[in-house]
Amino acid sequence: MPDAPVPVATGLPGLSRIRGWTRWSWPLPAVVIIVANAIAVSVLGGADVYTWSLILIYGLFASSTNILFGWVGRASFGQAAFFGTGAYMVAFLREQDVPPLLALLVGLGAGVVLGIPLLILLRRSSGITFAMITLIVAQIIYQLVFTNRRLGGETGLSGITVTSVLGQDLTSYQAFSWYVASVVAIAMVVLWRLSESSFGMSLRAVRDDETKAAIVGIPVRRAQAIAFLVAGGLAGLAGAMLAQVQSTVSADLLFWTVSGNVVIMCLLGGRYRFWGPFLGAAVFIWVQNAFLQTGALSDLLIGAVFLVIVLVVPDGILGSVAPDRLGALIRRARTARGIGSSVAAGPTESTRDGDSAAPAPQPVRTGPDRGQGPR
Amino acid sequence: MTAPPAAIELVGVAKSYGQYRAVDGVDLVVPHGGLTALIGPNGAGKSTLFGIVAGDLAADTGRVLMAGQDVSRVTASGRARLGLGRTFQTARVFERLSALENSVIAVRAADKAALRVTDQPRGNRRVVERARAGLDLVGLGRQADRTAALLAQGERKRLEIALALTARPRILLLDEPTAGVGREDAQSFIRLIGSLRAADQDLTVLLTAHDMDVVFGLAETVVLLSLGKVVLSGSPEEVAAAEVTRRVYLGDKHAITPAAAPAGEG
Repeated sequence: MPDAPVPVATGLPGLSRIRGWTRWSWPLPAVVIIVANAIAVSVLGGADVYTWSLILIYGLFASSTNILFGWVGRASFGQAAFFGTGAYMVAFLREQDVPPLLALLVGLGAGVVLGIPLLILLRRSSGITFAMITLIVAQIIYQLVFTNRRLGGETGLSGITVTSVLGQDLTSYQAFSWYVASVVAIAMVVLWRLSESSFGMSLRAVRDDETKAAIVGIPVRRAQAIAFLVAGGLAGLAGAMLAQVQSTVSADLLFWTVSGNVVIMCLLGGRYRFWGPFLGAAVFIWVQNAFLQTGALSDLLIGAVFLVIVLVVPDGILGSVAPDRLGALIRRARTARGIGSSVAAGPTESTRDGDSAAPAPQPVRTGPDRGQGPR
Repeated sequence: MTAPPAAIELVGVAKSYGQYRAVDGVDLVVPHGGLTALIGPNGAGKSTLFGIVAGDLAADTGRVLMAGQDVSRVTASGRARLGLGRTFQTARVFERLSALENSVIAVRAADKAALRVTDQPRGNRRVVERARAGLDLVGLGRQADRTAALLAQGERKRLEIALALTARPRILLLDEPTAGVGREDAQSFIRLIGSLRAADQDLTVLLTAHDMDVVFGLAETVVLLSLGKVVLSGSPEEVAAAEVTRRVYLGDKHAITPAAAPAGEG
């Protein structure tokens, strides 16, 4: 039997079987972000710390996009509209004396508000129409911003300065990185709680089978609508952070390639994993930076790297290290070496498949078979 | 004491696909608390009729009543809320989630808490215990942590029943419950349905089946369909003995013998 693609439950399926895991794990995302930031700040220097801050922000942005892509199962190609709106909100408030944290909340709120009219357009849309409508609307918003003089048109707006937050001086890259990490850490805790809530689980049910979810009693449309607004709000928050980090905003932030890039980040890291999009963002930005010096060839090389990753691990980098998948790999390796014959005799998939009276389990929509044997 | 109204009543139901009359004026009463089996050769209209009862398909004419209430214009999920549980011919479960997670979701949805953002159902002992009890009921307790996509077809069908039962349905619709499973699975399935009915006298079951073990092992009423019409309706013995049954099934390789093999409907 071909090695069945191993689908994965929420979060970290192996850990989630630990007693009380769900109840006590809530601060974990914050711990991960804070520890990673502590390491980054102490190891990296100047400009690299800035890049790390970008990773944090795009990690949040990709994770918010993944609410739609990975949880609800809808690919939006217009999340840049929310991201850019959040960023422009901060830029717009730069001359008012708005505290930076409040400006972030305004960016978040703007993302939610922008989502409301979009929801009306997206009513009854599914799959490809959802992707197209989000793409088109986002491009319209891009054009509006691009041609608007008050928004700085092509060049955008600059002069966003954040020098201190809550009395903390932020003039060094390191200090700024702590500010970004703190906000992202809080956002990731919220996201984790959402992911583990009844709402988060219902979204995954909707993703797997909308009809069945409705029959089980989940209000499918309402679930999708709430997910859309939450994703928009968090994208707005990420955009607002970016504006504060870069101190400038431009219409580029709203361009469709930005939306496409975050979808790629989700794919790279693994959209069925909580940390997948975050890891994907890190890999994406790191690879992009690594190829920056190669000039005209860079896009081609970057594309090739991502293509290879997605081909080798269709469920993303984290998706391929699922505990159950590791188990399957080990079993296969042992069988190949002749140790595992006793294991293979058990009631595993392979023997069940050999039972001609019972048809094989239904194939699952998880991408192509990855074939047998070592890669 | 008055008898409760019929669990399901169809009045003059018809449905055509273009020129083809799939269901051609069916009147049918499914009594409260009974088990009724729809049988008939391929193309007799079983699946269409089943879809009309479940709410997947709208009848061209006629009415569908559930416990005396006209539900002709109620959607499938609306009928589910009114107490209709159902399974599909090919089991539909949440593929990427474990059996237990499937069950947890059904529990929360039955509690009308499917969209709650502040709770953590997997950390809630009461929710998890109920979800486990649902799996135990259909004999899937040991597969709780297995991803649904990796369950065997028979196990998926059991999981689907567990999901349906979580909402405590008054009526259970089973579409070809033993199609695509081995003989042993089919036998244990029959025992499962029997025990569910023994535990709840008010549960009404309507099923379609090609598998005559299921029909004669479980049904109190058998309804024979042919060319979109009800040809015969009665006890299993009456239907098995009737001349028309043989004629309708003539040329169909799934003749009525208890040893008939399960088969899917085209």
